[in-house]
Amino acid sequence: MKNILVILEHLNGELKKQSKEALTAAKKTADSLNVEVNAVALGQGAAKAGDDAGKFGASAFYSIEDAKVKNYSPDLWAAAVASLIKKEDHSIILASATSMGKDLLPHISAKFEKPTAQDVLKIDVDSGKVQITRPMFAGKVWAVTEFTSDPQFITLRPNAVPAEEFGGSAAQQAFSEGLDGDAKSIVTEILESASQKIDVSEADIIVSGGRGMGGPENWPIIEELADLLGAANGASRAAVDAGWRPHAEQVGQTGKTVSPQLYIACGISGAIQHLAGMSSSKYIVAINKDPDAPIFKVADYGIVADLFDIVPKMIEELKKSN
Amino acid sequence: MNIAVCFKQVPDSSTRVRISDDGLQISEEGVSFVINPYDEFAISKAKELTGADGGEVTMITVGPDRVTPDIRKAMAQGGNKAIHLKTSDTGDVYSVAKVLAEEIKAGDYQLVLMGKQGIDDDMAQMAQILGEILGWGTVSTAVNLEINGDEVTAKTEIEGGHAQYQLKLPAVISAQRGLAEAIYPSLKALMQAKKMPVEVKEVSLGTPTYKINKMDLPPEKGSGKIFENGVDDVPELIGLLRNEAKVINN
Repeated sequence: MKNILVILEHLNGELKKQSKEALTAAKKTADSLNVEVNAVALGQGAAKAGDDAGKFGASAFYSIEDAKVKNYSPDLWAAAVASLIKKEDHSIILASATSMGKDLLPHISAKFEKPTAQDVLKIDVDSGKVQITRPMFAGKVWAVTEFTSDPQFITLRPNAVPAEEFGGSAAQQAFSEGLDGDAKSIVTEILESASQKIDVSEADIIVSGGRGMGGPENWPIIEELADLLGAANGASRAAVDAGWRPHAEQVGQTGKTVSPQLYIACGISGAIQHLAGMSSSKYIVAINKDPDAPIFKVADYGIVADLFDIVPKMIEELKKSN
Repeated sequence: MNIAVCFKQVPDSSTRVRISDDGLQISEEGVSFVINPYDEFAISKAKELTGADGGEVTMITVGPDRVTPDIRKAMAQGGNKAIHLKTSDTGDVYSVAKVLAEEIKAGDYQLVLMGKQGIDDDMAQMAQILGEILGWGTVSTAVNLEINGDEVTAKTEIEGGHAQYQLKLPAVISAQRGLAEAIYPSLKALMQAKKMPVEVKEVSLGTPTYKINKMDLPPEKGSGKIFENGVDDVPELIGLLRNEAKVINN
């Protein structure tokens, strides 16, 4: 069996948390298959990610820092990584299901005439066969899937596997093949949000509001609770359709599917398409006046009461200990 | 500019999913099918672009007979004609992309649009794979798209902000919510769409390289703890989150 390759994301060489999770998942799978983990990072400062790649389980690390890959280009980055895969004959290629990972990996898998298993929750090895569990219908269904041949392409949902340090070190080398062509599509600018808010898809904690919030003017309590917890703000489709919140915050089948450690649903009744997007959260707190609201069926802790009483009280309690 | 819009028919998002007896797919009994919501944004954008600069919009879909009414609806939302690549094979995303690419290569298109993902299998990769097969510049999950001659700029949402892309026609772009508003066709548009040409071609998707072994409903949660004493319960709730669930540190 051949080695696993993890495509890392970093900021000037500093490894992203999601990539540490992907390395951890790769290391566990590799141990079951008796193979090793390789890792690759691209772009400015990529080489600096090598030490962390080793700590989180990689035995070999490749950096691609050519001037041509300074900015993200899905086609050119895919060409470079595909060259590495062909050279080293990797069996499984893993990335995190971030916006970049979900964009890049299918570009690579297409070069091997394969699709990518996106947003995977779990990778198991069953008598030498890799079984991939991923949600479909925004989580209404979990499917156990497999590739019929190598290489296999997987993006791992953020927060699905907690990162673990194994304390090793990786043999590091630069790689520069596959970059003969020019980028067809390239990022020319990254525009950072003024608000510096955490995105729902990568947050450990999400505080969400729904129709029960009554209007956008009532959102400051949601934002204050989220700030206290270091959480992201989420919203139901009803709140987004009403124009109360931006669609980037929408959680559900036509928004984002999330798996945070803690999901606090305020004034959300729990339409099936919303539940699909958040029911794989580790802990769910529901606050709703209606005791029959479907959200209580998935809640670990439910408070049947007016959110406008409960949320301010939660803020008060949390402030007490700060 | 001629635009191909690839769309997919999917179960409506309000569908309560039941798994069929073989455990490999969902039961279609009682399910109402709709145009994939993200594809509707692509249709609207195609209509907007050709409305401004001229050109035709061709709807292309891969699927069985039941897709037919939604082909008419898609044309009413913003098309001139349609191609139905008919098959009852399941295939995988790559094999579907391959038949779409063959059809697109045979036509005269400068732009291919579609939704960022189907809300059924959530594979979220048709644009990327199609772009690779065609060798065209690609942007997935675009919230903004502008075309000036051959020059294309597109914006996507990324964690903590936006990314601005530059590329040239021909291009493949997939739509995130926000690229355009879905159009609800008028009765007149629906009537006109009935007269638009639909070319039907039988296709085969071959043997998939990625397959489903088993579908399950997600693991059930045990019944949760319900509090009914209003604000008086909040200190206990916070205590549980800190000490039992251990999900908050403050």
